[in-house]
Amino acid sequence: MKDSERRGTHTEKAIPVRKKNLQLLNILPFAVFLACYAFAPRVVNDAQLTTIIYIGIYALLAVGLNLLMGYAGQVSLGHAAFFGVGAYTSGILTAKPIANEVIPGVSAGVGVISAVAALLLLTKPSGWKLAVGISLLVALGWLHNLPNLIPVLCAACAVAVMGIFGLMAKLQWMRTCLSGVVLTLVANLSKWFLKGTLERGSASPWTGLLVGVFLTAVISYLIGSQVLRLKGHYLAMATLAFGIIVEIVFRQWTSVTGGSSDGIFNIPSIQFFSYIPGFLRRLYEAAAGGSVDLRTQYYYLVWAFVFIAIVLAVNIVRSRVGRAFRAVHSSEQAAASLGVDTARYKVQVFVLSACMASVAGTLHAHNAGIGYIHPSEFGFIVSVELVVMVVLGGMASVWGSLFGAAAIQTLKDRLLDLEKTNPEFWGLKLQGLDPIVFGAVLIVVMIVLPQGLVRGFSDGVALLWRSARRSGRQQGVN
Amino acid sequence: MSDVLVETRSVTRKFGGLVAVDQVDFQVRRGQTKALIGPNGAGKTTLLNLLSGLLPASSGDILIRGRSVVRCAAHEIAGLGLARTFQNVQLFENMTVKENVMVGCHPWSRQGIASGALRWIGHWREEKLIEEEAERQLDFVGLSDLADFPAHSLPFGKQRMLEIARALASRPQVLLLDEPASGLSTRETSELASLLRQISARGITILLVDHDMQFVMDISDEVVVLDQGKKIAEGTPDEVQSNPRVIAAYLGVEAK
Ligand SMILES: Nc1ncnc2c1ncn2[C@@H]1O[C@H](COP(=O)(O)OP(=O)(O)O)[C@@H](O)[C@H]1O
Ligand SMILES: [Mg+2]
Repeated sequence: MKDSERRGTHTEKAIPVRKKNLQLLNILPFAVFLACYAFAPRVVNDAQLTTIIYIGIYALLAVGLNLLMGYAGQVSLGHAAFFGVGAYTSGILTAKPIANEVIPGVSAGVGVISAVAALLLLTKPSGWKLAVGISLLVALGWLHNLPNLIPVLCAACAVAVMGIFGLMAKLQWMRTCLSGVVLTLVANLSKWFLKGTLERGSASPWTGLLVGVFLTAVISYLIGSQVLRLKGHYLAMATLAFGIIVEIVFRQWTSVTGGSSDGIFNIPSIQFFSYIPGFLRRLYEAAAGGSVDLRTQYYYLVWAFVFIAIVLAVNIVRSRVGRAFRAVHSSEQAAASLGVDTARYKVQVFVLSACMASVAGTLHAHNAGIGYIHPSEFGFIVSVELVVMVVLGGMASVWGSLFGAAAIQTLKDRLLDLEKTNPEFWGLKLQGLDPIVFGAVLIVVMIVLPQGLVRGFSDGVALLWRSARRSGRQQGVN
Repeated sequence: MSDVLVETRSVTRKFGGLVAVDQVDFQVRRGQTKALIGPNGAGKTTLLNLLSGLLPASSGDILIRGRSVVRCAAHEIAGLGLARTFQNVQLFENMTVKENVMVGCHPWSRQGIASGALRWIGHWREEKLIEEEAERQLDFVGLSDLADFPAHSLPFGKQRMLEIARALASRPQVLLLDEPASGLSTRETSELASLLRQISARGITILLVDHDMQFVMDISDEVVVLDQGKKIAEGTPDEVQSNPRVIAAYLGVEAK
C-alpha cells in the first residue's frame, strides 16, 4: 500500500509525451538542421569551420553512443577504441602503398568471408556440413584468384558447386547457391574496387571506410557477445579494459600503426565533389556562395554523415527494434517475457554504435589539411569525453547528443586557448585541465540537469508555458 | 491430453540449500482459469519464473503446448504464446503508456533494425498493425485517454492494468498473473475480476497467483495450493477451501 502511495503521482501534473497532431515538430528540427548545414560556410571563418568539422565528428560518435547508452542502457567506457579502429584502418590503407600482388588475394578473401556469412545466415548448417561448406567456399575463392579464368566460368562454377553441395547435404540448395552468388559478386566487386587503388598507389578513403566498418563490426560483435552479459559496473569495467588494450595496441604495434612517437601522417583527404553529380555540386556551390574549397567540402561531407546518422537514429528509436532497445534498458526481465531477445538486441545496438564510431574515425583520419592520427586521440580520456557529451546532451535524446558534442568541443577549444596563456593559480601551473573540467561538468549536469541540456530546457519551457496559460485562464475566470 | 496447455513434471528449483519449488506436478488446461495460492514464501513467484523461462529449473520438466521448454530462453517461451505480469510491476518507465503496449506486440511482429532505420514499406505496414493492437488493448483496460503519458506517471492501480494490456498485446494463449490484485482498492479489485472474466471469455487461459481469497475463489475454476515449495492440494475452490491441510497451512495463517 505504501508502494501505491509513492507511485501515485498525479497524472494531471505529468506532461503527455507526444501528441499525434504535433508530427510537424518531428520534421522541424531536420529542416532547421538542413538550413544550417547549407549556409554555415557563408557565416563562419576558417578556424570556426575547423571546430565545426570536429563537432560533426564527435556528434557522430555521440549519437551512436547514445543509442547504446541512452536508449539501450548499456554503458561503454571504451567507445574511443572503435573510433580508433576506424581511423587506423583507413589511415593505414590510404597512407601506405599497396602492392599490386595482394589484390586478387584480398578480393577473394573478402568474397569468401562474405559468402561464409551468407551461408551461416541463410542456412542452419551444423558440424561437418559447415566445415564442408566453408572449405568449398575457400576453394572457389581460390578459383576466383586465378588470373586466366574468365569470370563467367568462375561464377557458374561457384553457383553450381554450392547448389550441388546444398542438395547433397540436405540444406536448402537455393540458399547455398545464393552464397555462391554472394562469393562471386563480392569478390568481383572488391577486385574492381581495389583496381582503382592501384592507379592511386594506395587504397581510396572509401575502401578505408568500408574495411574499417567491417573490421569494427567483427571486433565489436566478438567483444559485445561476451561483454554484454555483464551488467552495470562490471560492463563499464570490461569495456574500459577493452578500450585501454586497444589504445596500447595503437601505441605499441609500431610497425603498423607508427606507435606513439610517429602516428600516421600524410593521410589524404576525401574530395567527395569529384564523386557526386554536377547538379548537386552546383547546389553546394550556390549554398556556400562561390567555389567550395577543400576544407568546406570536408565540412559538407562530415555533416552529411551526421545528418544520415541522425535520421537513422531517430528512425530506429521510433521503430519496433528501437522500442525493444528501450525496453531492455528499463527491465530486461519484462522485455524478455514479452519475446524480446535481449542478448541479441544488446549485441545489435553495440555493433551498430561501434560502426558509427568507426565511420567517425575514418572521417577523423582524413580530416582536410590535417591527415594525421595519433594514439592519444583514441585513449580512455576520449571515451570519457564521449560519455560526458551523451550525458550533457541528454540520455535517450538524439538531438541532445549533437548539442552535447558541440558544447564539449567548444569547451575543449576554450581550455586550449586558456592553456596557451600559461595560467598559474597560486604557483600551480594549470595544464591538462580537460579531465578535471569534464569531471566537474559531469557532476554538475547529473545534479542540476539530469535530463540533459535539450530535455531539461524544453521541459522548463513547457512548464513555464503551461503555468502561464493556467494563470491566464484563472484571470479569465475571475 | 491435447488440451493441456501448460504442464510441469516434478519441477524443482533450489536456491543454494533452500528448495523454493519442490517436485511440483500440475497442469493447466486450455480455457481454464487456474489459481496458484499459498502463504508468503511458498514459491509461487518462483514457479511462475520457471514457467516463463526467467529462471532455469534445477530439475524436472516443463511443457508448454506439449513442447519441453526447460532449456528455452524467456523470449522463446513468449513466442510460444505465454505472457505474464509481475508481482512488483515492471513497466518500461521511460516510455509512454502506448509504447509499453506496443513492445508487447513483439512476439508476432517481424521487422528488423534495417527496416526500421530505412522506413521500408514493411515497417509502415507493421507499425500500423502494432498501433491498432495497442489501441485495442488500451481501450480494453480503459487506459485510452492516458496513451501518451509516461508510464511512470500512472497511479499504481492503472500501472497494473497497463501491465495486463501489455501482456495481452502479445496475443498470448496463456496469461500468467502474479498477484494482480495486490495493492488495489476494493473497487479496483472487482473491476479487475470482471476484466479477467472477459479475458477468459476471449479464450485465453489464465494462471494467477493471489492472496485475496475472495477474489481467487470468485474467478477461478481450479486452485493449486503450494506450501514451502510443495503442492499440498489441487481442486475446485470449494474442495480446496475445505481441505484440512490447506486450512492448516494457509487459511490458518491468514485467518488469525
Ligand atoms: N533469487 C532468489 N534467490 C534466493 N532465494 C530466493 C530467490 N527468489 C526467491 N527466493 C526464496 O524462495 C522462496 C520462495 O519465494 P517466492 O517464490 O517469491 O514466494 P511467493 O511468491 O510464494 O511469496 C522464498 O523463501 C524466497 O526467499
Ligand atoms: Mg510472490
